[in-house]
Amino acid sequence: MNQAKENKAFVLEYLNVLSGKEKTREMMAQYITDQELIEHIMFFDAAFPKYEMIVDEMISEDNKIMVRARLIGKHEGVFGDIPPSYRSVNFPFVVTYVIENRKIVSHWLIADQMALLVQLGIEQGVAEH
Amino acid sequence: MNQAKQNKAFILDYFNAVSGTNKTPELLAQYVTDRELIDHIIFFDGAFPKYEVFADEMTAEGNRIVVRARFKGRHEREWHGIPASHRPIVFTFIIGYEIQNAKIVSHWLVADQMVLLNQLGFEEVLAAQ
Repeated sequence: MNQAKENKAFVLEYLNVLSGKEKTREMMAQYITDQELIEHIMFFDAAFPKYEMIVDEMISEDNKIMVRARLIGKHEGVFGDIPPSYRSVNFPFVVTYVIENRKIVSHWLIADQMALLVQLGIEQGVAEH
Repeated sequence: MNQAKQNKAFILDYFNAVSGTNKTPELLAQYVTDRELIDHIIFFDGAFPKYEVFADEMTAEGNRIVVRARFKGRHEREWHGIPASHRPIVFTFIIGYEIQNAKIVSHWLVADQMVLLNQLGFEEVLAAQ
């Protein structure tokens, strides 16, 4: 299996382990050394407990893998300064991981905060175009 | 040159051709058959004339390529009901292309609209109403 395929299998395993469960530091330490990513996941799992991730697309090249996915969860904890709304959210994000020795060592992430805030009832948003 | 490398070269050529110029249907037709993408670009070029695009990172596999890019422009005309602010705008977006026969045949796009709206002074616009 080449590196790109190995990395896809690794990331699918990682996402399956985390999705729909409480995301503990012990669980994440098996897959991630990137501390910023761990803190980010802990922050979101506090606001959207046991959130799920659904993968729509993966593209892999050398030690990088790009994942286009959706976060599905319920807003049951404090998110920033927004109290729980108990609304369901489903929004797309794109994350790229750099993988070394079966660990995520760095990442970047983009999501549409506006789409999230609209679903939380905070913003009206603008028309899609 | 393998397909992924060819597609990277194609996308760099495309970015260079459209960045900083009037994005006419004739120009876009040389690179894009995806009607939705053409309309999207023309819509943004109407509000942010001759906007520039910069490719910061490309990940390619098979006939697909994902670009982490920056949009740089000036808000010179009305956009989603927000009157021209003449402000300079810079924001990151992630775009995935499917390429067939040296043409973009489909795409997806994720950007953080909140970053754009904050730069446009949207919060001030709302607060003033």
